[in-house]
Amino acid sequence: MKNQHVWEMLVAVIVLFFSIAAWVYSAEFPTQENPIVGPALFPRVLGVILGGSALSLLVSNLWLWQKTRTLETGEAVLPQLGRLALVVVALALVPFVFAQIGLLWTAVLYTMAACLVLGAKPLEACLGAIVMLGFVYVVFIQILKVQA
Amino acid sequence: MNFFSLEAILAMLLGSLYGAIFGALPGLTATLALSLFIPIAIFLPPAVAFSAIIGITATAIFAGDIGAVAVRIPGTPASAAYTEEIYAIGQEKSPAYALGIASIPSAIGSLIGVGFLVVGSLALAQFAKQFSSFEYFWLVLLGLVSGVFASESLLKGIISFCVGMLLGTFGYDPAFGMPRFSFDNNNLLGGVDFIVALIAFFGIAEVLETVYNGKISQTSGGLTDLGRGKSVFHEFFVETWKLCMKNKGRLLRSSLVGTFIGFLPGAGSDLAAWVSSNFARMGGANKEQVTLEGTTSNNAAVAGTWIPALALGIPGDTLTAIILGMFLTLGITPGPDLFQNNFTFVLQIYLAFLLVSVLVMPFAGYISALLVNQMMRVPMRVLLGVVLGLCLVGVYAINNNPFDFSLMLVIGVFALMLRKAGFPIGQLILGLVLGPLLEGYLMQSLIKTNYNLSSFFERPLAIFLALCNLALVAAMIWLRTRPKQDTAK
Repeated sequence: MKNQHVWEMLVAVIVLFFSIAAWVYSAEFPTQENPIVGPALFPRVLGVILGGSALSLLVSNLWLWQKTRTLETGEAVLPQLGRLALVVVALALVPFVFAQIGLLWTAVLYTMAACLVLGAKPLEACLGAIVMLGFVYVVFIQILKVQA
Repeated sequence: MNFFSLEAILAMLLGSLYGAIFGALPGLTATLALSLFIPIAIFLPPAVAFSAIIGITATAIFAGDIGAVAVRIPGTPASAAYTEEIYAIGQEKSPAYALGIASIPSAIGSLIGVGFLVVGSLALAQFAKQFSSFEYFWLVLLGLVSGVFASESLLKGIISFCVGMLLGTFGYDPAFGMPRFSFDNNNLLGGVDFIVALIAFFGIAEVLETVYNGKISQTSGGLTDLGRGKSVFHEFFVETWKLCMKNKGRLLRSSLVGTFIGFLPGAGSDLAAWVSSNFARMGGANKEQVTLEGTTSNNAAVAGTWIPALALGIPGDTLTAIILGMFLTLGITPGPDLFQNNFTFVLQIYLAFLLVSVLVMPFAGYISALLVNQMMRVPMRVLLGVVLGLCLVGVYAINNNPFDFSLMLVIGVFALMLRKAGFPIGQLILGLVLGPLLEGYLMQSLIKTNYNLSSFFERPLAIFLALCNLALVAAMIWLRTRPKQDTAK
């Protein structure tokens, strides 16, 4: 079983959750003159299609796993996930960093950090950050008047 | 301000150069270029914004060939169809000649495509005046069905489309004005912002995937000796022009094929290039002819995708879905009404396409080939870091709302999972654009006929379009099952 199948199963579970959520939440939407046709109709139809599709994807992958009983471990997944988790946590902190130092410096800081995480040399990361600083300042702040 | 003001022409040239850089560098795509540009475009006057967008979309496809010539890696999927041939031409003759074949036939294909764009969109808009919500419902469904069948995996295509459409249901519903899925959060009352979603699906997901993979394919190096004959200019323009004159029939054929494939919902430049270059190969064409047909076709398809987008408001591919989202964000609704009430704007779009085809693609193509060659020396790890910075700035600039950072991250992580699992992201974006349209036309039709479902089959045009849907499903099922039967034999 390839890593892609593991991702497929993960997506299938999430999509299945979406379909159930769509069905449950749309039960709270106000009904109209016709009880079937209303704001809940379209999300519910989508929920049914998504649920059915996600289930069949999940079952087909489980069947494949049952058949092979193996998981391809060619990729060292843990370090990759660790690096990804670090970046995701850093991105989750953007609203707080933004509140402290503003848009311009948040963009510069994250550009530099991203360059370093992606394997750039410190000088290259600094150059990337300087390009970002100039671009955001001139285009977004001076020309487009974005509140930074 | 019109499309021929100094600002608009400058925007077109800069847009072309920007599109060329993104198109040429493997890993950075035309879709990403457009996604990152949209937050800037919404601040610009429509004429300037659309001039730049036309420049980006037109040159990004051509520029995909620069990567193919330089390092044998196509910059865009549309160039993959003839990468081997164009790379070999660059090695055997000269890179300038190979880039010329990428540029001049692209311009001719684009020019012929523009001709069809004018005639096709005018005729379609005139015809669409007879459409009511029933016909539009079937038409949008046609776009959805063809998009689903265009996916490699039917199941994944369906899931992508439905997730996109479900995201489109967030916020006020189009028929009754009731808020949906806001989870008591005022930031979600207006729904998931299309541009935030776009940046997350293409920009953030690209960066996250690179971080996860841990490997960046650095293709830098560029080309050292562009020309090997009289001069770079001579090889780029004169030699290529001679080739075009010898292959007029091929140019016309591939332009027609490209425009037609571009016009079909769910198809686009990639398919156009594959079909045309395969036609050429099957006919025993040489490397130059295969490349010429592929590059002509994929650029003609760009204009072709604009025909249903302008005339009916239905996007044919991911790029036009983004452009349609941009139209709606600026309060412009494409369709027959646009042709009736704001024909000057439509006319200026045609002329901008014409200008891009005649001047920008050959000449800016020549300049951008030289400049992009230098850009290819910039490490990809730095470029992707800059992309992340641009995503953050772009997401905030749209609404000046820090909540959008969190929304971008959630969507970005989900987009990464979808990418790793091989789900088509383009279909999801099409679903995000087409979903609210489909629901709107469905509800309008149901309300005005007092919830009578048979009303969808009463008008002759509606019946015709319903039959088109049925025929498309049957044809696609036949096409998908046919190779299996052959294998069984």
